[in-house]
Amino acid sequence: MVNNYILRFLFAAFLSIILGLLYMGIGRKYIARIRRCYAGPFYQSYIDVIKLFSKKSISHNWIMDFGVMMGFAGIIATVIFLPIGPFTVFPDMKGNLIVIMYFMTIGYLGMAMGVAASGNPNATIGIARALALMVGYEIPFALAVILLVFVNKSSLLADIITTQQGSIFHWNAFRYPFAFVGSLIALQGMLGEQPFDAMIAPAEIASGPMVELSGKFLGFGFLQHGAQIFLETGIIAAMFLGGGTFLGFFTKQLFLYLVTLSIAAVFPRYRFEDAVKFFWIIPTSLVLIQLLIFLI
Amino acid sequence: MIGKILLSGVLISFLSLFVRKKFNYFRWILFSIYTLLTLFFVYIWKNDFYFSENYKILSLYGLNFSLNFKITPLGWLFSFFTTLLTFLISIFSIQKNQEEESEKIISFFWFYLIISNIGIFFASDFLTLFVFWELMTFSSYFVISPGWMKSFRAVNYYFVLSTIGAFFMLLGIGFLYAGTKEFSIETGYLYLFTLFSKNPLLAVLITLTFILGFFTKSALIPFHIWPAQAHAEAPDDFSAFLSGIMIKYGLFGNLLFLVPLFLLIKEYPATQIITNKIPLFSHILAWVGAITSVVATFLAIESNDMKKLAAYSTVANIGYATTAMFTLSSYGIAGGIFQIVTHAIFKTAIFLSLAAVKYRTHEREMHKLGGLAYKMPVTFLTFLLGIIAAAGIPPLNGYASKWMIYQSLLAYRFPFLTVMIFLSSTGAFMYLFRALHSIFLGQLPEKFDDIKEVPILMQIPMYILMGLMLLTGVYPGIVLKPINSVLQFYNLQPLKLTYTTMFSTLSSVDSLKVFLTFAGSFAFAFILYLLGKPRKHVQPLDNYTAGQDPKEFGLTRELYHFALKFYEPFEHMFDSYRTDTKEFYDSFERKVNEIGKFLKETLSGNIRNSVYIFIFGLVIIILYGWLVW
Repeated sequence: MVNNYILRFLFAAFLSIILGLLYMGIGRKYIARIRRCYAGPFYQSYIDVIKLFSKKSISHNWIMDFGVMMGFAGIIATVIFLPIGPFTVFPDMKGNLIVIMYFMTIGYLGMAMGVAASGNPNATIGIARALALMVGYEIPFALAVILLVFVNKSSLLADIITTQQGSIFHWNAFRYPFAFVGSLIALQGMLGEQPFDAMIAPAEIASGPMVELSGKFLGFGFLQHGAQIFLETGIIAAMFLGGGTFLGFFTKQLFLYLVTLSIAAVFPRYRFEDAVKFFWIIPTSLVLIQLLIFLI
Repeated sequence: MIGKILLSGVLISFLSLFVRKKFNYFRWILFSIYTLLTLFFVYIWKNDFYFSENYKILSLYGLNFSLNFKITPLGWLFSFFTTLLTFLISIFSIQKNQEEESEKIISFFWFYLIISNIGIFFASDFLTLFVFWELMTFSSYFVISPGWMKSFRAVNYYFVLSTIGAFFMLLGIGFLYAGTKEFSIETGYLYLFTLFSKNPLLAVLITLTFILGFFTKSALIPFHIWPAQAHAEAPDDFSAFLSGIMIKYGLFGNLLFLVPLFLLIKEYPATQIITNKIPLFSHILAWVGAITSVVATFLAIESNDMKKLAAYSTVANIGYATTAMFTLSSYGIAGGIFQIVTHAIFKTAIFLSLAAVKYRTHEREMHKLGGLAYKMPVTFLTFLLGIIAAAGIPPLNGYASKWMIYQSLLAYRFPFLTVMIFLSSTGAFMYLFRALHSIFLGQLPEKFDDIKEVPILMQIPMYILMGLMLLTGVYPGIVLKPINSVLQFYNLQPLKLTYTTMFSTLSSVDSLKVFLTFAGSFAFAFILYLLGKPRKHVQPLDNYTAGQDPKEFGLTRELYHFALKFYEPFEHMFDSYRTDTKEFYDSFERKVNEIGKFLKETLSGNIRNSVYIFIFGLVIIILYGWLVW
């Protein structure tokens, strides 16, 4: 019984890392195609991670070590609660959305704690921006979650997926298009892609949170970002695109990620307070309209 | 038994006055022992629900003044957790108050806080409740400001608001007495319920007086500014008591009187406007809670004073609990009570760790601190677990109660309340991280280079609090099972739960599994960490100056601590929406002063005028009593 859980746990964890890094590699190539330049091969992210883990690294104190690990662990722990296609680690808790939304934040908190312990002001400025942005994008996302919970009378992702089966037009993306668009914009912010990348802003604050990370610490950063891509696209795919089989689910995830990148590739950066305002006005009202239509 | 405990508290408090200054720790040990004894008795009362005690004090013209106590499930739950936390705080205080000025008066009045604590939670009628309510207000007044000028200014906000609230409550009690000829709480709300169909206006007015009484105490909008003043200026260990326990009395009042009243109206909705299946009145109060939580969150984001930040965070949490309990479903009331208990635990932990920081550094402004985690690891861990709980992140206890609140709001369809709670809960993340970074992470200022961890006696309560946060987070059933008996007391459907699993109509969650998942993920991350090449410890400044002496560049560590104006651009977004409530109260105070001065100058300048006014007033009172009464 316990062994079974451990195997399922490891399967989900490795799947999220491997596929997340794969999406990252494909994404790099995709952005290079849009900008008409060259990128490394699609397996470049794997090489990067292995290289980073085998390099020497420096840390400033134990909290930095602890925080970086906690950040990665938080995202992995959230992936465990995500229904990956037909697969769930805990069959009795099929993707509890409230748990997922709150568990994700422990990853952010861990990473934030780790890089804040590095003592570099650039890193902390990046974190301050990221947290302020979070207050922005969580509002439309929360509204979309509320809408779907009301529709399905359940806060389990598995139930939300079940009601979308049958035909492509049963997908919530077609039934609730405004909410879908709002959540897509929120996804853009969650992944920290342009125009909402004020927290990393390479030219401004020297890539923000990552500034003091070296060697395996940066490797953890890579892994966390990969798992985060897997997780966040996975949540939207389950909420709006009907989950599906393994292959279908992964395709939907990749599709969502590429949509995000297509926007990112052509947009400049918002100031973060403008981004927060944008999130509170455009996507929030889009989802709100959908919610009001449903309630009335 | 209840009376004996209260009386022995009074005796011990006077006994403690004879302890000499040199042995002042003995006085605090006496206090701890008294608290522990009280805790023990409260614990054994868990099987004696509905046991009651009456003490007749005096009888005047047929009016009987007596103190009546009754052990209800609700009162038991509150008194158990508050006494437990007071005991932990008192252990912390033994060491903390050794060098404190005027600690004699502080410890003397602490006894009365414990006494009024038991008195309020076990009161079975309004008169007893009111007596202990006022005892608590007065004794806390002297603890917050034992002759310190700065805290005197702050405590007046608290005192004036509390007193106004209490007088409104007394007015409400008077109205109920006029209707029922007794002080019983139960007959009180039954009478008020019937009054809603007979004379709605009067009923609404009476309800409003009680709302004012309870809401001033629990600092809901528009009374949300006193915690930031009083909690910040109070003695550091007392802030933990204020924030963890005392602010809950208002919520206890809501649960004691208003919630049963609204439940009655919800059940027989003939006379009241019903929105979303709950009475409109209750719906408005739920909104007040949600708005309070959002406003307090933004005020917390803006504050640079660590105790003010924590105080505003308290107000925000009170907002969640209020919103939840006024949705009037089993989940809502259970979530509200659960939030009160968990908040008491984690906010005590947060305030004790802040008190430990201040004990060592004597600083309250966050930008003057920094990097203390490397010197005070236990304090840091307590604070870290505290903020994880406060942000509602699993697997700590704040998450379990928030989950319950969301279930109630989502299952009974309150979309906009949910969003407000969500907004303030995400905002909580912002200010909590700011506190974590500015106090404990970042660069350690050079003046704090030889700071040490607090003494072991102060660490013990922190360890226990960490354990409690984890325990009630992983096994929420420990708190929820007593809450179930409270729900039965309200005649509501009890929750379906086991020690680790909470069920609701929308979903279920097994906290133990959540905890194990996180532990497993952390183990996974740790293995990966060990697989990587070992890291090397380097001083941060060496990194910035490429190994050369930082002093040659004129670099100090303080220069690299980014803490002041942490969210400045974000704060500027709200510049045009800001209303200064404190300024409103201050201007009110100035107006009162002006009027008083005016009256004093014009009337009391001449002694004859004053005598005329006095006699005139007396005659009016006598005439009123004679003709109207």
